[in-house]
Amino acid sequence: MIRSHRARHFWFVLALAVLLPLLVLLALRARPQWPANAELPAGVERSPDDTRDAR
Amino acid sequence: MSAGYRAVQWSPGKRRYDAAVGGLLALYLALFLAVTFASRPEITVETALIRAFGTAALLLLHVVLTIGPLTRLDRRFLPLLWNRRHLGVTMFLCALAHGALALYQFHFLGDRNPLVSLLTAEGGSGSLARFPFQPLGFLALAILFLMAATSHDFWLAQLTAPVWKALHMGVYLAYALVVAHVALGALQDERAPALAALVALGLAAILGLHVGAAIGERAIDAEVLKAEADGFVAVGRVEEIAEKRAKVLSLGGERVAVFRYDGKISAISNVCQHQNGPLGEGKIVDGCVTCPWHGYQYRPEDGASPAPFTERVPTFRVRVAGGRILVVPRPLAPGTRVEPATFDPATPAPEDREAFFVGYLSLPKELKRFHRRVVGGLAAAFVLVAVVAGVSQRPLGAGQFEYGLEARLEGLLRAEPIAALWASADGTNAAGDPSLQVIPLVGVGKHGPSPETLALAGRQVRILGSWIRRGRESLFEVASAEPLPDSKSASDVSAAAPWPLGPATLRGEIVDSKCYLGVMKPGDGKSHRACAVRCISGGSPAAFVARDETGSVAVLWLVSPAGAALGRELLDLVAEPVEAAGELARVGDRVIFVTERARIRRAELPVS
Repeated sequence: MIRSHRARHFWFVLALAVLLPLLVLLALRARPQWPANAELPAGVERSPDDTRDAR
Repeated sequence: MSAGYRAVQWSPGKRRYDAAVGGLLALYLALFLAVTFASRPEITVETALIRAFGTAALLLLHVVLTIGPLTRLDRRFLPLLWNRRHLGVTMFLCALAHGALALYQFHFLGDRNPLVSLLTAEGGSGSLARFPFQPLGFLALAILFLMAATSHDFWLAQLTAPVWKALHMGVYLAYALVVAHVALGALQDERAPALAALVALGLAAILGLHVGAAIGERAIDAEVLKAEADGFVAVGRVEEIAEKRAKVLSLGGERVAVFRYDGKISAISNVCQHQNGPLGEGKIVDGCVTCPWHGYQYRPEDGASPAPFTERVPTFRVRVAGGRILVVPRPLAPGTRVEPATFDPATPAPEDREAFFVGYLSLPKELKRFHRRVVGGLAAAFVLVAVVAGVSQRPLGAGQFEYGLEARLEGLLRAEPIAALWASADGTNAAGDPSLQVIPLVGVGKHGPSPETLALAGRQVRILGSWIRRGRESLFEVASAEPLPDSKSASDVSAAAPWPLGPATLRGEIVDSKCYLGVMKPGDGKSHRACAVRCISGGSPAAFVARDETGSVAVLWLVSPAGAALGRELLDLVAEPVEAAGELARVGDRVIFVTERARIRRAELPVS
């Protein structure tokens, strides 16, 4: 006899409800920082940063 | 009851359902692409399509997953279940388009089999931020493929209902993998809070609805009914049940549906043999218990489907005493006939106020109105997501790949320190002369210049190809190269030696110069990492991109102390924040950064 799948999967749903948000939070916290240098060395040609807003 | 049952294949309801799904998808794709090209005109068509199909698949996956719990919480949503598999297959096709385009863009035309590259290019992990995200999406797509391929009832019959259902519960694993794919992929680069908020909102909706429905279901299972001396369990009274409807209860851990019809009471399993649908939430139509999910039917007295169908569900012994319904909790073999219990037909019944629908019946008026509002709400949600996701994408840079626009260059070809054409050079220009134009070279696809091109090093050559430009930096993709008729080898090696500018320690990112300067949008960051690895591995020059706090950026060409271009030894550091120490030197109008693997380390902390 087939048991009710809803009853059987209660704990599965609860586990997903805890683990998935945790994973997203940890992933967002783990996003790398993109540190800029205080200044670029003299003699190095440079261009305006066309993606500055992205970081 | 008719003896001429046959399966309902296609119906006007299904056509309307498919038209609504197709219309909503077309609306989303068109709007997302329009907003994306308006807000980020620099984006390439390939990237725009990858993002459009990826976000559309994610959105449709949310719709697919919300239907189940919504029907548990409000039965008016049940018509959405009728054709959910078409919605699921549509979602899979969007995910497949996303995956196929990404596989082509990031892994084809390289030095590895594209599938091997997909699974290995991002390397190991060591931290959550470095965890490879593309294999997660690939695995999710494989699960969705299995589900889409077996979605037809042919496979349900071949695999049997329990196996089929277990396989299709894999959608939750696929969803978890997709969430991880997005969180460890796109969200690592895309910093707009609105995008993270959209993902969080979707997660909250899916999980909230499932937990809410699960708690409601658990309440039914938690009710403990005690058996009387004769083994029967009192499950309620006749007057609690509406005519042709059922009461659902849990007996010994199994759901039982107790139906009232034509002065009789019968009890059968609540679990439909088709897809485990809740029979007790159905209705008796044409003398048969009719599942609310897909309309499968069973006779209430023996739990068997009418011929020619062969499905059978377990039945339960039942009797009525003084208006009380009593059931033996032990199930009988599926299809076992049990004489229905009878009761006084004058017993009052509650009014059945719930409209009932299965796909082969016409949709009741009140449900039509409700579902017009549902489709309108979905359209509004699709528009909102398309606009928010479209405008929230990060800037992709002003690089340009003049693909298809053939240019011709002449000059001295040199293989070191990086493969480049020294244009306007007669072989005697000093490398320290900033007016000397040095043009780094790459080959087609994810490769450096071909061996035939490099064999001409030291000679005056004519090359045909296309420019790649970003800011003051440029690169040339070589289609063909030939020596000039009267060319001879340049002999002044000392003039080619880089002109030292001094030591430097810089923070920045290692990129493949070809993509960063304009072939890919984006050509940096984690979402591009696999492609950058493939390009550098194939011979595209590795470059160090350093920014300063005033909003300037410098592109430095990475060279080893031995004077050769750095490449494969840096693959595990590509697309990450790194700090490198070395010597800067000038080669014509380019600056090279002479360093080595041991002098480059990950720099994950912000500059203090």
